[in-house]
Amino acid sequence: MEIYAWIPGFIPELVKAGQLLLAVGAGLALGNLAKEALPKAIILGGAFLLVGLLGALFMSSDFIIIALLLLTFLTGCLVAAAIGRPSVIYIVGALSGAGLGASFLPQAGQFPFNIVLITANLFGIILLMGGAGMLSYWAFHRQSALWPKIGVRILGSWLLAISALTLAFELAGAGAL
Amino acid sequence: MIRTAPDPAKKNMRYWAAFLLTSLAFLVSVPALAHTGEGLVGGFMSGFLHPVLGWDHVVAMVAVGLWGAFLRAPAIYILPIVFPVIMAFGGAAGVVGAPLPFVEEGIALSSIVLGLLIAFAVRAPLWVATIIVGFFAVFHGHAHGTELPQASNAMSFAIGFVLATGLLHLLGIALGVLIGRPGGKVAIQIAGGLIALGGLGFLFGII
Repeated sequence: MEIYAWIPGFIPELVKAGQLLLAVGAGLALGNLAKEALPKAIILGGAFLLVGLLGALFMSSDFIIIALLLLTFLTGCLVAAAIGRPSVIYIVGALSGAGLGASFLPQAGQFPFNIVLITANLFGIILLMGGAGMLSYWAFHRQSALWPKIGVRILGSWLLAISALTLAFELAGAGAL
Repeated sequence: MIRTAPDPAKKNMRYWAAFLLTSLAFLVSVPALAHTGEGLVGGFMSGFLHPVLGWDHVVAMVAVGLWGAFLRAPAIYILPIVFPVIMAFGGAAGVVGAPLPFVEEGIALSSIVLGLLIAFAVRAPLWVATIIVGFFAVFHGHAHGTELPQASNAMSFAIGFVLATGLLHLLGIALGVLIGRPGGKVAIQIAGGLIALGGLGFLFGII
């Protein structure tokens, strides 16, 4: 078997873009939490990510892209409105974890061959989420100036706008709207 | 062992040979076919350029930022947050083909109204400013949304145009910082007047 035969098209392009947007959105939302609440949210998100990974075996790319966009929309709302209430962020964090995990959907039964790719991809997503989270935490908790908070909230509104538009496009394409 | 200095003529010849070989490589090269960037170019660039190349969008976006700067906090950040959010809903309506009358007129009117508000230094309450900006955002979003189905990559298009819109707002806010400078307020009011005039030009099809 040719070594690269299973690499192209492992994760559909749109799902990949959705993953990245959600990773940024979830990171920014988590960063708004207080320091004491962060470990719980991270553990919860991680646990649901593992559940989602198992669920990936049963997902279709059409469903998962809509789920990713909906979750990005939710996280965008939280960031734009600067909602730092732990209970809300726990729920959205857990859902985002599950959504991100489930988005590693295998194509044509390639799952067992792609453990290395999944690990590398997951590492990249966690890195992106961590970076966004640190930026948000720095802006909301470490800065007394207003502009870093404004910047993060504007980023949240951009995520919200991008996800709403693409969601409308996807739903209209699927005939749901 | 005695080391002799390299012959300058030989050194120059080596440089020329390298230059000629590199030039030859560029001349005979063909485009790499691995990453054509079709999705990105057809989506992201067209999305990014859509608000930037349309003057009616540009002046309205800058006006939102300028007026926000004029109204100061919290309007300075509430308006650039509200605009893309409402614009997205207008865009979604455009994507699904929901009809919206007078879209072009609404876009032109946004420049006129926002320009006049800046020109006359109107300090509206935050809720009034939010409603005005949100109302016009629907028209801008609808115009973008109707173009989205033609984009080769909808998400890249959406990322491009939201990014461009946001950057235009930030440009308006950055220009609004001039308010604190001597004569800055008058300069911004003049800019507001020009924006309103531009809007009239769009409305009557002069520009």
